[in-house]
Amino acid sequence: MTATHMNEPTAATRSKRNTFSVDIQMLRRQARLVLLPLITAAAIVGAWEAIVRLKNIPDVLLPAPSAIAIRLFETLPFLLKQAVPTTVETIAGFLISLVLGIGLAVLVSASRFAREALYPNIVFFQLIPKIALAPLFIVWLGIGSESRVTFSVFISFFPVVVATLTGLTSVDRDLLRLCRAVGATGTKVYTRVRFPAAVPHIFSGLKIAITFAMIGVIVGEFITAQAGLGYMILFAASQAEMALIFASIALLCVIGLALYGLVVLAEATALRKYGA
Amino acid sequence: MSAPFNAITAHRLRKVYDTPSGAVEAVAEANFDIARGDFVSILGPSGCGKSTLMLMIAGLEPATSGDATLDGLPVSGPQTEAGMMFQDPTLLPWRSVLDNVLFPIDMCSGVSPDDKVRAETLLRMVDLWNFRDKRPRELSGGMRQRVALARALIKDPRILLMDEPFSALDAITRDEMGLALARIWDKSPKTAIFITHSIREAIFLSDRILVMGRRPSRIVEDLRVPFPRPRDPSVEAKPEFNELYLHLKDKIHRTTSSPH
Repeated sequence: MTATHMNEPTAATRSKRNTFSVDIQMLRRQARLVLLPLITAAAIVGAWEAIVRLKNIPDVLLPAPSAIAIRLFETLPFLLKQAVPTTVETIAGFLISLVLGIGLAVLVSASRFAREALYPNIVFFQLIPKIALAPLFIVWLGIGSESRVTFSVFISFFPVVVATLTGLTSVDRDLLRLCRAVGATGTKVYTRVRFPAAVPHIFSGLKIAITFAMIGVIVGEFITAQAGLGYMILFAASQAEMALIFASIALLCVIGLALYGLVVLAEATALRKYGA
Repeated sequence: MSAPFNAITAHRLRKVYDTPSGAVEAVAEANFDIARGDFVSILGPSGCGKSTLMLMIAGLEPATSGDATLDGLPVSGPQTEAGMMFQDPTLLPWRSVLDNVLFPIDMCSGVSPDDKVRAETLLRMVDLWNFRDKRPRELSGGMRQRVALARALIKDPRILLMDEPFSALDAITRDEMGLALARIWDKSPKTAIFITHSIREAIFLSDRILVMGRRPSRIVEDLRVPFPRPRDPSVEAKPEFNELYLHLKDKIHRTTSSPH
């Protein structure tokens, strides 16, 4: 910007100055994007550590980050064993939501009858505070994996339906006219036009669904109290093992981030083919 | 059996849309016959129902009343024999240029090696041979519309229906596209309906021009363009071109300003 304010620089110097300052600016901006959140997070953790140590806050109230790290390291094999059911059930819930959500969106977009009969009900369903229904799933399906996975699907399929539906109906009207004009069958319009056009939208729904699926499983573990990291948190709380609670949460964050990362990776692959 | 002389006919075609705010008459009444091989422009102000008229002829919008025929047969559903172009190129972003051109065939049957050869010929004709493997996003607006033109011609249709195909392009690209279309036309003339609101474009491209008025939307002028083919841009310098231009401009002006 400063270069443009100078009094009539020659074209050569101007362009040189511009490229130079643009390079520096880009580097600065990228460094900022990575460093600023990291420094902020480090500052918060550092302040946390300092306050706990200086004020002598007991471990049963708030353990220091260093104490949590040590606990995490000590109990890692055990926690990882607990993480297996949580992860597997989250993935199961997510995959069922994916199939169910996309299937329902196709049905609702393809059939006017299905749309009018189902869609208002699907939306209404979402107004229910779903967590409140979790105990019902235990009554109906017992305390095994089935009820946790079902509950997980229950809260994570809706974003997939809405996003897929948006994508399927986003196709240009003239393009649909062209499809009719060339005598395309409804199935082909779906498989070759509507569905590929919906891919970017579907992934925005899936990114929400994967986080919702994990919330569903953890809530299920809170209630069924069998195994899993959600159960570990509850158990540790009953023992006033604060460091273990935080260690479990830290592990949940890592798993959640990894699952989200996988969806983002799949999205990047799909968008290379289907992106605009 | 000899083919009927008129490739397209419209007899008292009328379209009324039901909207929440009441009935809207998009086309009041359209009557015309288009001879085989004629390039006919329908010229009119925006919102005069030109597009609706074309959609009725293509069988993509049912007429409220009246009849249309294509090649002597009544239009009762989508006309798969006609090639179509819209204001937007409406290409599939995930398909290559070549696959976009083959799209109409892919959507109704399978693509044969012959179809591929034809698509390649068409891409050479619209100067996009070197871009056949590119995605639409890598192309300029004019190039995308040339892909759409090649796509409209892929089934070698006898009838071509074009709804303001060059309207979204800049003036220079638009002139180039007009010239490209005229060149393709000279090689293989087809019956065409070309919707436009550009008077110069209509005169340069057409054998015949129908002017459509607004409220009521019906044909208010029907004239033939006297210039021989092949035409090149120099026809625009002829005094007759300008006379025709002023005449059509006056006609359109009257339809838009008349108190109805």
